[in-house]
Amino acid sequence: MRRLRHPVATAIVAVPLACALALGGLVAAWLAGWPVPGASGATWFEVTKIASADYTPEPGAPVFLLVIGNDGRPGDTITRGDAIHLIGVNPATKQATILDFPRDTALQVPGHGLDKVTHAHAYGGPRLMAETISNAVGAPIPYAISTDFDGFIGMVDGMGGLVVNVPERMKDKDAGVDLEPGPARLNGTMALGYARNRKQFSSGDLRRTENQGYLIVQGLAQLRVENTGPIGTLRLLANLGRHAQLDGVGLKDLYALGRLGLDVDPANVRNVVVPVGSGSGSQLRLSGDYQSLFADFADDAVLQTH
Amino acid sequence: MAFTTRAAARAIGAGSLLVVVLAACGGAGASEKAATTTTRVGSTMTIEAGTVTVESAGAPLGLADADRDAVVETVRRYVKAATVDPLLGEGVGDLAPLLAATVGSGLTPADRAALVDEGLPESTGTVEAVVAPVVLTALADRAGAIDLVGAGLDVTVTAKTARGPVVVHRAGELILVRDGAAWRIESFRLLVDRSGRGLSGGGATTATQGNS
Repeated sequence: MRRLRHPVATAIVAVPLACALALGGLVAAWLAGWPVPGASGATWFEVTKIASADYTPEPGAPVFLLVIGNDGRPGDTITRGDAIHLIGVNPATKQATILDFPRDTALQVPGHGLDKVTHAHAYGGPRLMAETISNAVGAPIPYAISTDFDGFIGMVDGMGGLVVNVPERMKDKDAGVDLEPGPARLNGTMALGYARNRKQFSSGDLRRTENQGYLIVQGLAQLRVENTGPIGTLRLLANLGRHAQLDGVGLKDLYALGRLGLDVDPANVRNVVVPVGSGSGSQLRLSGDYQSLFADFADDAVLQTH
Repeated sequence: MAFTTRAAARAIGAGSLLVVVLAACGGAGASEKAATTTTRVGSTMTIEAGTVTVESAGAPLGLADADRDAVVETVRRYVKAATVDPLLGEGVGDLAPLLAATVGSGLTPADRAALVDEGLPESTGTVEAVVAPVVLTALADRAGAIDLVGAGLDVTVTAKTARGPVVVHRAGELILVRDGAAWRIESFRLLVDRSGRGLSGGGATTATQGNS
């Protein structure tokens, strides 16, 4: 297995939330497995329907979506999932929760035993990673969205940059970030650096994964502000559709997911890093009251007691 | 530009009302011409399509005439059921055939208030509906399939009631999803203003926005 190079940034910042926060999947026949042709070029992200083909979200029921940033480079066929965020949306209450998983979190990977969750992606792509996390959390995950470095950059640039409030000086040569505190509009490369930055933080990857969750929330906020309504969402999807690889999903799914996400006020989104023991470079064990946290999350995608 | 139309409504007998549907220029194109249709209660009111745009993830393409017409037909039936029927004393029409399954169960009271006009007084005279041509925006996937169409809605319905006039103006967007040969409303964002002395409260204006 290739050595980890960079944790992928939040891959999905906007779209996912947009879509992901919806987002969604896309039409099966449509693109299933096809490489994105393209004039408009590059593939920004891949949407995979994990659930059965006839699955549609039950009205009012919570929907869970796994957002993955992988470390893929052009030509790579095996990639790790380094940015891992499970988003739960409750359409009835219009609330959402993002569970951020450090990449080294040790989980039972079906067929591979206890292993770092990041490796699940290398073993079996988004599907195995979704199965791994679904088993751990106890929530069904019908959709997964995955992006890589270039896709993330393209996505952020495609939405005209991402507005954030940099909480403190961020400077890390390896991550490629050099930002002053305060409000800023990040282009794709800058946003990737923001999402990868960890060495300057004492809590390392934990802070990084939290920052990635923050980017997702900011992406949602921006998309909500810029969205001009349902028809605007159609236009957004047409653009995304030119840059998406779809596996088992269609534009109708994507629209439904996007609308689901855009209905949620970012103020009603909780961003929570799952509790793990300290350490780095090796497996991080889930710790604390993680079981209670997962149960609280899985029942309705909203944290009532955490 | 919207303009008014006089319904040549001649009530023939008690309860006989006329529904006048006017198509007004919606601002999306000068080529749109206003059309006026006058029909008796219970017959079909007419709404016309305005400009049609297809947002495509693949090659450019158009919206088939059959789909365009089917979408507009759903919009027409919706306007009639939501506003005209209540003013005719029939209550809100049956929306079940017009709404996708995902819509009905998820409506909040505010959303429903934006979607339909419940509790309107019955008209004692002419019911007029001025409807701008419905601007359509379709979404096509890379293979050219179109399963979602957005419809821009701008309709003003006026009626005389025993307590005075009532005016309902509803504007916004509907998203329709293909269901076989039919198209159903999958979601909406609407703003509705109801005004006039005929409303309970004596002339109060209420504005309600809803999405689903």
